[in-house]
Amino acid sequence: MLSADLLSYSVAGTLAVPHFLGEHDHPWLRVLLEEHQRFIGRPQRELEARLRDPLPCESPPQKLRLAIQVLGRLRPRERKSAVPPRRARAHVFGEAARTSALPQAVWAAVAASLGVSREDLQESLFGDLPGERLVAAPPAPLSAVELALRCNLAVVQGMLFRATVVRIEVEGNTRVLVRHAKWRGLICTLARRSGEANAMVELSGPFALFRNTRLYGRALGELVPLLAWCPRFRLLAECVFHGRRLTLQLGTGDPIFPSSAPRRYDSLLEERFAREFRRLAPAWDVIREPEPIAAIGTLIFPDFAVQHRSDQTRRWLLEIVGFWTPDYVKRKLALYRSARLSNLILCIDEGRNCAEADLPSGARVVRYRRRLDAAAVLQLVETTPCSC
Amino acid sequence: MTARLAELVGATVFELAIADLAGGFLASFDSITLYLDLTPEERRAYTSLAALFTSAHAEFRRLAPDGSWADFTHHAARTPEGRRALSAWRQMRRLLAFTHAKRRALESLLVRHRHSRVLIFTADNETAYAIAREHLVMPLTCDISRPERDDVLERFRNGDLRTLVSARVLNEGLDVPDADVAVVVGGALGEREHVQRVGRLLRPSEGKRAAVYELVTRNTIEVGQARRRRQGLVIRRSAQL
Repeated sequence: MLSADLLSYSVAGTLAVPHFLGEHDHPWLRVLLEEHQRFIGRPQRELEARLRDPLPCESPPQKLRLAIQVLGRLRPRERKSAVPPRRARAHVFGEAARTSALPQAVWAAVAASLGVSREDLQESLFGDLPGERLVAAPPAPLSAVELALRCNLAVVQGMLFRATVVRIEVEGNTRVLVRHAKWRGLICTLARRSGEANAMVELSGPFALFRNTRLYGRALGELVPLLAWCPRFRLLAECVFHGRRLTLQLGTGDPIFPSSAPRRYDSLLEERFAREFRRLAPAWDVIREPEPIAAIGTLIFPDFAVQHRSDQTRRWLLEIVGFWTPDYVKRKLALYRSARLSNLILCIDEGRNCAEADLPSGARVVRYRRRLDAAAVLQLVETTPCSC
Repeated sequence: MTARLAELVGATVFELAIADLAGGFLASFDSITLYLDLTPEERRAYTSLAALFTSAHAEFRRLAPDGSWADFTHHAARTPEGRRALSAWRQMRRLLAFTHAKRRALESLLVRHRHSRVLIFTADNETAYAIAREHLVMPLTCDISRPERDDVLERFRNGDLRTLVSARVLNEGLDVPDADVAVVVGGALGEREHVQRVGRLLRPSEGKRAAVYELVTRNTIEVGQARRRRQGLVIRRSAQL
């Protein structure tokens, strides 16, 4: 989490407007990256000492400290030691205190007793201490543009740590967002906004919680780079800064570093099904992750929609069910009924029944074992009249 | 801080310094300042760095007589001269942290007190690690994990380790076993830090006389720093009852 002094924003009415790094910051960011590059392979303390001095060009001090911190987070942290450093210290300093031998003799004796070279022992001595780690290059080459975007992301994530509630209106790719929120266990509710195509995701902010706020805040912050993959979004976060309630507002096009592209399919099974269905059924379109459907108090996210190309009335929704119990399937069917949907096909893995009883009657089901048969789905959609 | 305390709880009514208690409640101690010289190369470097810093700082003081150090750094970061001055100031501190003469003085002190329990205090972790490597004494810094620190203090207590080097960790908050020699190679936090450091040696015992060595480089900013930090040790018994 960024410390409060690195969160740069101004207040406009009730809005907290983050000071994003932009093109005007690229020159000094480039200089910073060059300086960082020069220290690769040298102890981190040397880089830190250098960066305590100003850069040779003008750079806003607060933004510079932010960029240094963000850059530091991108460095790989591991450094392998021939001897566990703590063990090396215990032996070297213990031996030095025990004898009155010269340091060279102590190094040699301890290296021999541990079965390593003297150089390896010397390298290991402080190998676990942050300042003694060697500076490594970031995993991928970093440009000034990317560093600026990553700084902006860090600022937004830092501000969200002070949020009581976060509301995200989102259009397209909602599933990615919701899936991540559910996976990280965030406290969220979903709704479709009446009369609009957007979904609304409402999340509790860390500031409204009493425990685990750091962990929760980090998980909440992970949603921000995913927003870049939503064609349109608007985020409003009610935050508390120094006892004052302010709103952070973000929208499509704000300069935030995006996450890597979300996976198109949840599993190999889904990917294979889509591929085979397309091959077997040229008259049908397979739509991955169609728009969510409003049900009572929530949204439903079907895995696929299959749509006949020449007949718009023939459209089926597919949901692939993993582990299941009859009760679970019953609840799911009730949810779809509440959304007045009757064009649902459940694809159920027979090997993943977690109860004794079988499926409830009335479900339109394609059963499979390990591999979902595209031909079976095609046969069902071709032969069953669609009442959507 | 002191002003705020006075505002909250009123003026000081009684005060005792360490020297007042030494020999009774605290062990007696000798405070020995070793004035050291820079090598000619170090002196040349120091003089040019000091000139760079002093001219920018004096100019700032002229423009803002009441400006704080934070104001100065903020102001200096905006101009090339200011950035050079800040850089010079940091380099000066790095240079003074562990000069050639301090290296030699420390070496001879460690030989002289080979059988004592010695605490070495530095201005920064970097110097602590440099001393640890050079003299093979265990460093105790904020980077060392808590379990390892506890283990180190236990080994110091039972005599497996006889010397520790630290920048700030030994200043306060740890139950440091009794030691009888301190070598102050450098410090950054002034009077209060110095009192806490010296206090590490003053657990009384029969016939104990501790020694505090301060390594101070002549004709540098260290002379003033050393004078200021020693004020916390001197006798200044006062009462306004």
